[in-house]
Amino acid sequence: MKEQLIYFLNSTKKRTFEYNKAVDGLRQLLWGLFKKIVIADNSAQIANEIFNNSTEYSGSTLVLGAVFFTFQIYGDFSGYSDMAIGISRLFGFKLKQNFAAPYFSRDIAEFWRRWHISLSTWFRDYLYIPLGGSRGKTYMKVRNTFIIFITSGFWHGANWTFIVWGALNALYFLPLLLQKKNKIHSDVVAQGKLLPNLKEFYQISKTFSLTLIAWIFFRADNIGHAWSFLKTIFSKSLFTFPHFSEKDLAVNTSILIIIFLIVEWLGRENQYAIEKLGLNKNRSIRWLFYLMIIISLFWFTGQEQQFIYFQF
Amino acid sequence: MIKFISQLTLFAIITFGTGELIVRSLKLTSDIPQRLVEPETGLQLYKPGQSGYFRNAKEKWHVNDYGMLGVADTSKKPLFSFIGDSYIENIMNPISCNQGFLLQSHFENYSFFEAGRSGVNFIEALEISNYLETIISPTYHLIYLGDGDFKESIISQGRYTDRVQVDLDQKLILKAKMKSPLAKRILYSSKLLYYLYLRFPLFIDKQNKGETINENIAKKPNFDISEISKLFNFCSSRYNLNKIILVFHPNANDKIIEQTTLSGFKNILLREHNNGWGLSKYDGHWSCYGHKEATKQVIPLIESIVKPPTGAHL
Repeated sequence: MKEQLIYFLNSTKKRTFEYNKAVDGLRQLLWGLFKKIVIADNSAQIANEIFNNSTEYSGSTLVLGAVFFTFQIYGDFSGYSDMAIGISRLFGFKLKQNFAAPYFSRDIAEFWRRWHISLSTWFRDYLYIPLGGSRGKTYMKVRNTFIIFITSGFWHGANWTFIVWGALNALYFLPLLLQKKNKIHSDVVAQGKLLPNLKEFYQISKTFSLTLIAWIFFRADNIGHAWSFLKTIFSKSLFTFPHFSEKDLAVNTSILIIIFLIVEWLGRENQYAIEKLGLNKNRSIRWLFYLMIIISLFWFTGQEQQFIYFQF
Repeated sequence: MIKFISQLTLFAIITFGTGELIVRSLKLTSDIPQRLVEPETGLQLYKPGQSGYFRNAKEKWHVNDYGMLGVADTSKKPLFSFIGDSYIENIMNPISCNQGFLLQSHFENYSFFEAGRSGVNFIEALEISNYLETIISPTYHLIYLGDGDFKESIISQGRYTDRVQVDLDQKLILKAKMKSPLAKRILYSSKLLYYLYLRFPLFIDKQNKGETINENIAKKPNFDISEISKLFNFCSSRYNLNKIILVFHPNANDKIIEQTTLSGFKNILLREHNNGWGLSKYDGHWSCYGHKEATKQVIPLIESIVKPPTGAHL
């Protein structure tokens, strides 16, 4: 945050147009639009239906609802961030990355280093470190961790669901902190490799599942709703085939999410997923790729959803 | 900067071309017939000789030499004309579902002529009947109407420049004007732009909201009956009511029907039954089933005209 401010204060000097920066900005803007319009808005239609009528669905369908919400919130937040960063880049400003492929994190500590980086950094600089950070006695560490996560929850809204969401994340994070394992995954997962190994895959899946459970509290109307949602998930109906009235929408969105995940995986080492995708290929292939994204923006436009952060 | 702009322009052109190709090849939009304003009457008609597909329809629509869609048989007498809005135009269904077509199969010795056009209001329908008198002189005009068509006819109740309206204070018929001709020309030529215009209604929404508001006003039961009454008085002096039969859509307002009777119009009210009128799943118009239901109720009316009870005259 501080660095960002310093950067802006120092950037009063005359900026000149640079072709590569402008193209890079447009590319990130396009990817942000895809995340918001195609991924988030389509996922939202399904997540809203399932969360709003959760008592009518089986555990397996509720899991689907939670998964779609997980992608809705990511597409929404990171999509808008990409759009803002991309537009800034067009004007010659270089803003810091805000989401660094967080769903490929191997533990919760890594997740929080990769999710909404500007907000996390602000909390770290202006709350966690002044409180003493991870220094001091165990009691202090536990206290500071809970304060920062609960405040983060409270920042999202005056609802107990956000407080529980924050507290749950604190509970996820504490064991890593106390065992001093919170910084073991500071690199990018499976760096330089095409696929993760089995251990990494297990770690990613575990972190994703923990995050998904926490998002249920974030999305639920109240604690009771979240609790009954979870109870249904962990019931026998979890092992039934999911049923959803708008099957086509669910299938199409799932396919889009899979494609999205593949692209995000391939570009996980970059500032945004398509930053360097196909740069070594010839122009016609790159343009075809951009064209496909543009067509998908129009073709798969979901019902426009209000940006989640509008409510905060 | 020049390189950036030129590359961006080239990319935009390629994107536009690809989009146009996709929309056309996948038939993502309907073909909409182009209109013209007939200079003498101020009526909006279609340019003759056009044809195209309505989205999801298997059959092509064709504009006849009279600038209208649908059945246009003038070979026999009595000749019945059908005037109305998009319900009678029926561009979304095969022609075999049109009122004229369905009735033709029932009354082989008579001719039927359809003059439906989307957006036609009551006064415009009467003006069309006058226009048809000059070109085909039908024996009877059947005018299909809903409640809103009356209010939309009166200029003091809301101005619609693209439709014929009446100024009741000055007793003056106002001709229609082509609305946004340039925008129409662009949207007619580019299927992609038309598709985007329909799919992402940035400003169409405002229009629709306006129309919805107007429709709501029109549907209000406490409409200004004195204005409607003035409208009918004006019509009785200008049009030959003996040749006009008003066919009211189901659930039309009783007071309006009563007023038309008092002003000397013949009328019938179509009635809904069973599972409603089988409205199309794509829009709020009658489906083929709805047209057949309407026809069933119009047949006795036509029979009573062509086979009048003993002693009665046409």
